[in-house]
Amino acid sequence: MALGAFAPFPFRLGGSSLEGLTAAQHARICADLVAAKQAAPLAVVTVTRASSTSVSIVKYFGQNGIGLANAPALAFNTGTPDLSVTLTFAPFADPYGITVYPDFTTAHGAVSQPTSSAPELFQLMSAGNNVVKFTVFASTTSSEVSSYTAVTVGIW
Amino acid sequence: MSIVPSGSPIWTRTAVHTQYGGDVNKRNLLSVGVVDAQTDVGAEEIARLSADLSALANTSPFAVITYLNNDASPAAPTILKVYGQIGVITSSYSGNAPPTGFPSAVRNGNDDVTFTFASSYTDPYGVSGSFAPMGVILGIAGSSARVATYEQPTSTTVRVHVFHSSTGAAGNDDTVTMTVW
Repeated sequence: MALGAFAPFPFRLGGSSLEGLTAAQHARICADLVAAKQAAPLAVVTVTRASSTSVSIVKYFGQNGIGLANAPALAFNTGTPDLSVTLTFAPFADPYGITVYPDFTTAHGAVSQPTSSAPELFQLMSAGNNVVKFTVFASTTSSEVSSYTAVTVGIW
Repeated sequence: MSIVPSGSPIWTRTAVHTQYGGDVNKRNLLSVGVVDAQTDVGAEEIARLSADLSALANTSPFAVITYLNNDASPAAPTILKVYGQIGVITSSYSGNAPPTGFPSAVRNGNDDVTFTFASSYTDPYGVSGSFAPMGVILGIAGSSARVATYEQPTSTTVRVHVFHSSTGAAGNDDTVTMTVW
């Protein structure tokens, strides 16, 4: 395609900084995008637990979309010693309808809680394929807790 | 500036692939693809790039902030590094004197800090977008057992606490890395 005129796809790299995209600039976009893809979380989930039997997802950001409509299925155990929460993700679809299950490698989390509470900590139990399982412990007793204000979980 | 970039800045988490030139019906003119991969960019490549970039925009952290609590000689925390969508700072600053565009931080007590973010930031093209922290993950550096928790007192603040994990007492002078979405 000639530059400087109507130039639909495929477009040719080059031109000026104001009206074109040089090969060097495009190469930098590609390299940086791939680098970011390699390190970016696949999903960020916020879960709240009012009691052992009341657990819900309150925020969801995923590479499959934003909002609870895109959130994973939630399951949880209710009794001592197992108060774990399991997130099971459906396949992720891109805007073109290409669908692939996410394959998680790890997750990190932090607990949101009032100042007056005893400290609690997120504990990853497993992350693999499309499933993440975690729980929350009271650090002073090493016991699982049955309620927490919120826990933010970043999943890679 | 003669054009306004499509969409809103990344921290608004409103990105869709069409803002980057993607379209489910995108095609090459007359279905003639790339002639030379070293000089041309085709519709299928822009389609992939735009979809992946919008997906990344959904989950990319707003900022990764490493800071030091100053408790032995009580003072505002020292912000050691910020890697953010608003910029990068690797030379430290005092939380009570942030560079323009970076969050401030005040000391509430031992290992107890409140960060304040702006409710709106501006991208390199002068386009502003609102921001409110959506989630936080914390890590603590050091050889002693600690646990960190957070609160969100307001839509633009994040309060971080660090405790001795065995006693639940407040820690002191700990270095913390906070990832904010």
